[in-house]
Amino acid sequence: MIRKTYILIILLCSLTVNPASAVQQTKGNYVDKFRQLDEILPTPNAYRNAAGEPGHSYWQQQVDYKIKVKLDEQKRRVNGSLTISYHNQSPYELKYLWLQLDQNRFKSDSFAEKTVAFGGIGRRGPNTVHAKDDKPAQISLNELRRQQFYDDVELGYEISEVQDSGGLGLPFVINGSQMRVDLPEALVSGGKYEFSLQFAYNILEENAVRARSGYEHFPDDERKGGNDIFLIAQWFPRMAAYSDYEAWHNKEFLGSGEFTLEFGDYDVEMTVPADHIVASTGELQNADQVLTAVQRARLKEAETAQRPVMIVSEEEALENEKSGTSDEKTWRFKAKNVRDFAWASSRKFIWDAKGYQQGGVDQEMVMAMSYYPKEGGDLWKKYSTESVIHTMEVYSRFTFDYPYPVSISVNGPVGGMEYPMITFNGPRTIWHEEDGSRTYTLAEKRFLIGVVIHEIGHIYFPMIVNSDERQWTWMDEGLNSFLDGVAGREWDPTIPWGVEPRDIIDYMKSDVQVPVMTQSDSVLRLGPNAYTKPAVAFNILREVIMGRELFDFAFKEYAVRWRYKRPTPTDFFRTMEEASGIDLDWFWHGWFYTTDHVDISIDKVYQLRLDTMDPDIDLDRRRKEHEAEPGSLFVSRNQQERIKTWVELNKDVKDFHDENDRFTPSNKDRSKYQEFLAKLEPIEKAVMNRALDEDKNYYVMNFSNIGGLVMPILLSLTYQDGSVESLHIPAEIWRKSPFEVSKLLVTKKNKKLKSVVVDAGWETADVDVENNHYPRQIIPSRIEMFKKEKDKRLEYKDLMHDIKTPIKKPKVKKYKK
Amino acid sequence: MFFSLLLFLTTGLSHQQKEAYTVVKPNKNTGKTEVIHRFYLHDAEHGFTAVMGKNVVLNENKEIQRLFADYVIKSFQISDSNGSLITANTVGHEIEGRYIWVYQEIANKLPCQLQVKMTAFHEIWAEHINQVNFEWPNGVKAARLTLTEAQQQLQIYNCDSINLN
Repeated sequence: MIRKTYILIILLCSLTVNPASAVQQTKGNYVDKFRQLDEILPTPNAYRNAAGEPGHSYWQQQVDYKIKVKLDEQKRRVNGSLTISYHNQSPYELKYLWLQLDQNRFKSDSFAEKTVAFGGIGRRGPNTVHAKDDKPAQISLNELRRQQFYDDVELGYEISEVQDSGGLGLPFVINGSQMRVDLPEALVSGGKYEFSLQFAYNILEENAVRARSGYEHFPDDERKGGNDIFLIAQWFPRMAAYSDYEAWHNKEFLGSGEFTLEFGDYDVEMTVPADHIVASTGELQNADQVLTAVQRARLKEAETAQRPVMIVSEEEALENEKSGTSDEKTWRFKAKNVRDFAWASSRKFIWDAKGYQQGGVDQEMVMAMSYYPKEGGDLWKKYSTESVIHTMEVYSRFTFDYPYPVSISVNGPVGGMEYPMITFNGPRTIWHEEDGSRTYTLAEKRFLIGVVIHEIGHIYFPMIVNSDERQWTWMDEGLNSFLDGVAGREWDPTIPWGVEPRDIIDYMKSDVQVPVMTQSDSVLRLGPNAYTKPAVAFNILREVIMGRELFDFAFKEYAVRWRYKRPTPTDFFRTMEEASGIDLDWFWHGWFYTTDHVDISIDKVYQLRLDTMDPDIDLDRRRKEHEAEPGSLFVSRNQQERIKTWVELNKDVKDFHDENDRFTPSNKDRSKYQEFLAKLEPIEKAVMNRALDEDKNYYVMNFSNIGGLVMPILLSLTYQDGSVESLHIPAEIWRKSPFEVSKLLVTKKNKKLKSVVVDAGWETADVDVENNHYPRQIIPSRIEMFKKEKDKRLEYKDLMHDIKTPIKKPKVKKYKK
Repeated sequence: MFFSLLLFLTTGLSHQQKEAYTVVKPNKNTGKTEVIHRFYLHDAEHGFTAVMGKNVVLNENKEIQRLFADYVIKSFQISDSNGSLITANTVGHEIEGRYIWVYQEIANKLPCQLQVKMTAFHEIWAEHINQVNFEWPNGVKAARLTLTEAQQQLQIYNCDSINLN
């Protein structure tokens, strides 16, 4: 009864997940877990082929930018002029161009703001609570701070002077966080169009609004009025992507789904206070104008240094942040073939650098650099730039050489965010007021290394392998979380980096989730859905299903194929299959298109023995089996009560059946056996004789698939002689019976099976360990284990601080003599 | 109509996971219902620093760990559908891997319909989510408890499939 109910639920789930499927099982409960994905995936075409690689007619647009921008520190405002060169490399004519105005997302009447539900999950977390029972409605102080910031500061772009290269004004329409520019005449395929505009906006306070960029104010700095760190991103009107599969990517920016843009070349001049240090996407063009001779010499020294060289030391930065200037400097950066551009500016920055001698032909030396205030302290000095380099070493092995001249980590108010060549990372030290020292915990050290690896990793995915973050967060976060785990484990395997299958089971077995293949703004919880679950899936693919050799080859092939191009999930799925020669449709379907989980149970193991067909042997075996069975309790108690049976009391009455039991072979049986032997072909006789001679053990193992997700069955077989063997049964065993399946195990005569464990190493995210054992075992729960032995972990001490604590003399208890 | 203020920490660091898991599961071996809370250490360290109003490190400082465990336990409530609280006794806590775990046990069988409340870190992080799984054989009923819905009424799947007492 339970089974029928279960199957019905699974079927209903399947129908719900894929309501548009043209092919449905409309009778019975059979579910084809191995149905090919072709009926879900788009048809291959000339732009993206069936192998998952760019097709022979693949195209993408190119957009080049020239920007002059001024950072008005006093007003916390950006003023810029922008010239865009749009290269229409599509086969189509374009009558208009769409731009993204991401700063408009922060206007109080934006789509995103207007659709934040009171008491709902809202934008990056709920800040309001409905009135309930006797409690009034609630609004967070942060929400009020945000609203007050909105009241005090006008947000969003001011756009003006949209005009063509001849100075002729162009009509344009602003629609939320997007802008359409109508062209005087259609831009033909292969054509180029240049236009310009002026833009300005007030910079957000990141801690008030949370925008992946903005300023952070440090009121306690010695300089009157304090100082700011400016992280400038999504800061200029950017051309929307135009692709073969979605045409204009003009989906409104709602906050969760991030970005996808076109590749192009940038030439950017930033005018900032003269005492600011600027970190930026691109290569600095005018070092002799903005850096001192000493700083330039230090940068040269850093190219071949063993450890990071301080370009601006802590002492110099501290001195710098004490005063200000009304002078300005203009920094100029150029970046080639990038999909975005971001920068940071502050007089607080300490700056270190170390050359990463990568070799190869693409970019022989990459300058890894970190910019951080004193609040970053030794934590940043020691580990930020080194983490940047470690990331490139590992990621390049799995993908391609890092192609850009710089790779940067900047500390500011953003916890972690990525842009081409530059990342923003949040971890800081703890300040101890009593002695002015700064320390950090081991947990914070791990966090810094981890977040730098993750964000620098994003320069590969999606800044170079240009997936669409607005639609599919998992394509960059999932792949990158998988790879940051690889890099982390190669940093220090004693640290619990990355994700293990066990990390996702509480989420996957619950009824509060959505499939991974869900549009980014509709995902309920991006953490487990778009980061952890896909990262676990790739771990399992690599370690369990495909093996490292096939996985790594296919993964690299995907990265190389789509470097500087625009892959979709379909291209990833197809490449991984095509390059490895493994049909993974069942895996993609189960892990990415459903909310099933893994729960494989071993329900029963029974032994078989080959009959000889010889009645003198087989009937004697049956007799022994019968004698080995426990006798009747009834009869046993009669005997204990010394009740004499009729047979015992009447021994003189006997017949044939008292001398011959039912296991006695008859001549009729023997004749039948001889007849059987006579009919056997010589080959059949040889096979039978060999089997009888070997007398192997035959075990049948029954499994059930409770979670719905088909997976390989990883068996650990323990024999009576104490030996243990592993047996990996591929997931395809479920192909014709997705919920229950049996497997025959044949062992040598003296290899008697004692016990079987499914997924003994917790490699498949199986949510229930108890049903993985046959015979069943009492598995102590986590609490039972805890009660047995309390685990003492020491790595979370603030050892750097505690070690300086004066040693206290214990109070000596006095005892009476 | 009045509204009240929620006082939140201004979060300079936004890379916390801001999620925690609680598993409520009957243990046939012991005859008790076990409650296992799991917090990312990094979240716990930053969050509890905000809760305490001073820097705390979840190290061998047993007092801080105990205070954190007390905080988690006070944040968690199960009650029957009438609102009567069900006692969950404290078992202990430990740090393992990237998590800090806090353990409780419920001596009595849980009613099939109940209310669950978990407010840990809601007062400092508006977006923090506590997921509570009620794991009975062949079914996991989960509650995603947010600031806006820190308490939910729910029916345990297959509740009668296990009898502890």
